[in-house]
Amino acid sequence: MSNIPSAEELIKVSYDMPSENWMDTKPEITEGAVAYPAKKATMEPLGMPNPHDWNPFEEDWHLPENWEEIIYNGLKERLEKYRSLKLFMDICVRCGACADKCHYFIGSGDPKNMPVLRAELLRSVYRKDFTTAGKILGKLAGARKLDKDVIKEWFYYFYQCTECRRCSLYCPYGIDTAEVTMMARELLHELGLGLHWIMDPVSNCNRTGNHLGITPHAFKEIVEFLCEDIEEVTGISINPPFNEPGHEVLFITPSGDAFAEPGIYTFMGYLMLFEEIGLDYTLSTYASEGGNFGLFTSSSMMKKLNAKMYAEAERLGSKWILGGECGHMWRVINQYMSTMNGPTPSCMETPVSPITGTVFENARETKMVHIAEFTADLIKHNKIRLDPSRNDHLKTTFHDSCNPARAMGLLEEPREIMRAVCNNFYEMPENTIREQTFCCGAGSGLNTDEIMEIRMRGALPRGNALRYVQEKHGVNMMSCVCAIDRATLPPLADYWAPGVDIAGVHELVANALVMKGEKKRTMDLRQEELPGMEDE
Amino acid sequence: MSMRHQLQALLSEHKQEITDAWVSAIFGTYEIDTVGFLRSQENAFSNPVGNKTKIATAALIDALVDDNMDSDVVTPAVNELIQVRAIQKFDADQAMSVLFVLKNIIRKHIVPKLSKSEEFADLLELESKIDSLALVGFRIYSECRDKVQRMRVDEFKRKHFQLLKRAERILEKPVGEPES
Repeated sequence: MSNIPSAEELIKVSYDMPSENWMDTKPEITEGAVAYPAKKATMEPLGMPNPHDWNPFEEDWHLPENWEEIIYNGLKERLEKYRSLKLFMDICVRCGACADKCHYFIGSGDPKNMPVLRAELLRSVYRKDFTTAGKILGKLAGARKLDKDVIKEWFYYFYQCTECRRCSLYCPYGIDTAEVTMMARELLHELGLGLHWIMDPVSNCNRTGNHLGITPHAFKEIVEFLCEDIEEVTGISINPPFNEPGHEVLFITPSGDAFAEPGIYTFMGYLMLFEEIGLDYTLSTYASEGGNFGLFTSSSMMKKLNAKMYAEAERLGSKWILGGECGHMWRVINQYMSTMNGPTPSCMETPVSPITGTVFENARETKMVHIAEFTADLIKHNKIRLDPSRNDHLKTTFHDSCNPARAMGLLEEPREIMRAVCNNFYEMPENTIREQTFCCGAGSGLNTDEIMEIRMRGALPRGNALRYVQEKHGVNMMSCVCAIDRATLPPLADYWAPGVDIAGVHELVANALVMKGEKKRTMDLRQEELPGMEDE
Repeated sequence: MSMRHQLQALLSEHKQEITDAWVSAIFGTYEIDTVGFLRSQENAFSNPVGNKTKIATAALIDALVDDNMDSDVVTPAVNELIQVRAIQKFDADQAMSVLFVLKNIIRKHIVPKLSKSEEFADLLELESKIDSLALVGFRIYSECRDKVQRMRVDEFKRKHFQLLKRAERILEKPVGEPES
């Protein structure tokens, strides 16, 4: 006898229609298929609803007794509050334009990762409870009854959406699928279901202002390490101001760039640029985080965590805020901040570059300027000296981060900078960049290591485009303007295009930046020898 | 020599059907709602799995038909098939089965046309070559799995780079070194 499957049996080719309707298939929630849950001890002090300990790999998720009522009321409240949600629930004609645009669908081949079907997981429940056709016709009208397996399916699939909004770009109705995911995650949070990787940074941010929970004195110390390294490379000693009132500009950037490699080189780049142009600025150890995982939690948490930006600008009397390279931070700022945390404190003014005099009219509302706009403006007005040959050992490309590209239209500025600071710059294929950019595969709080395989599936479309330019042009450095990217792209490149490194745009700016009084540069910011410029 | 040529000629004659059947078998490991996309979306950047599969299977069949098992050609092609499956929702045997199933497909097309025992011996030799491809596949699969584990560790180190540095300054010794 043999009960070992043959190759043919393992392949199991069948082009028969599946016997079960998609509504009846259930996800297999095994180790690696979902990220670890948020702990009760994390959720409770944040005032999150129904905090409880649970394990997604066990059958019973210990939902609150009235869980069905909670979901019904939660959905009802949101449908009344957000006209957009009601539209997104009603308007989809299931044309399928979005279906093959999702990096998770492309990389996993799982049909429920088609954005249309993922949204249908929520829509089907909406139809059952909130539409006449769904109430009467049930399944025939695409409606289904909520049960505990639906909750599990939501948890599985709405955390395989990075809220990147690539699918929305192709939707003829302009349905913002990211907002559908945001609502589904909010509903899951109502039941006390969240991810550790999201709620732990939220909790830390709530307490100390940054994702890692670093206290002010440690934050200051860590930035000072970076200044030591800058001195080693350039011979220039920088003492950045912390929490000092009376400066024109408050600089806020994601904390990942202060703590994590390779983001720290981008942070060093900011400090060097500000020193060189003599910017009148201060850092803050309280507004020590531009990122906002509240965006992945709930609108109220997003609002709460973001409030520190204007509060700190008011406390320090800053005229405007310069923001570092980050992705989702800019979605929060550009799309929600002014209505959510505004009006801006009275000390704030429409940002004007003190170096070029450029008025950033686009930032009149929020009083916040993206550093790529700021630096591109400096370069356009010839206000900084650059020696791009210092980046000659690099062949670079640029990854458009989803949020700066699709949520704020920041497409040209980083490219203008890249072309000014590098002699070798190559674009990835057209349908993978600019507004059509592919996600890094781990945005929206999914960059946790226990789901590395899922991340690599989502990373495939970007990795594939990267490997193409690596093979065609010898690209060995991919730059980006997002701190999450700087964390998620190194494994992406390691798996799909080994040999390509990742840098923030301002790391490359600082490598090329000729500073007044600097010593001869023989090393880059990573303290690696610059080919052809070694010490004699 | 002529017998050998007979098998090569048969393979060459049925190349297209064999390749198509192989591609179909690989696509068939995905759910039916996905197969149409894998099959029809031609753009290599919109449909990397479909395009990689088509290109890699064609290259491997060519290598077998031409009896040219050059590692520089077949290893990247096997890599295209296995690297994706190593991180998708397949168990190891399901991931690797795409290479072994080629034997069944070739037999289905070729065996009815064989008559002499020497021709069967040639077929066995061809199947050994497919085994060699499968061994390359095993190496790639295990390298991919090892890499995923290493990426987890590397990511942790990158994330805590500055904190480790700070801890080392406080402890005045490298982090991870045992207490003396």
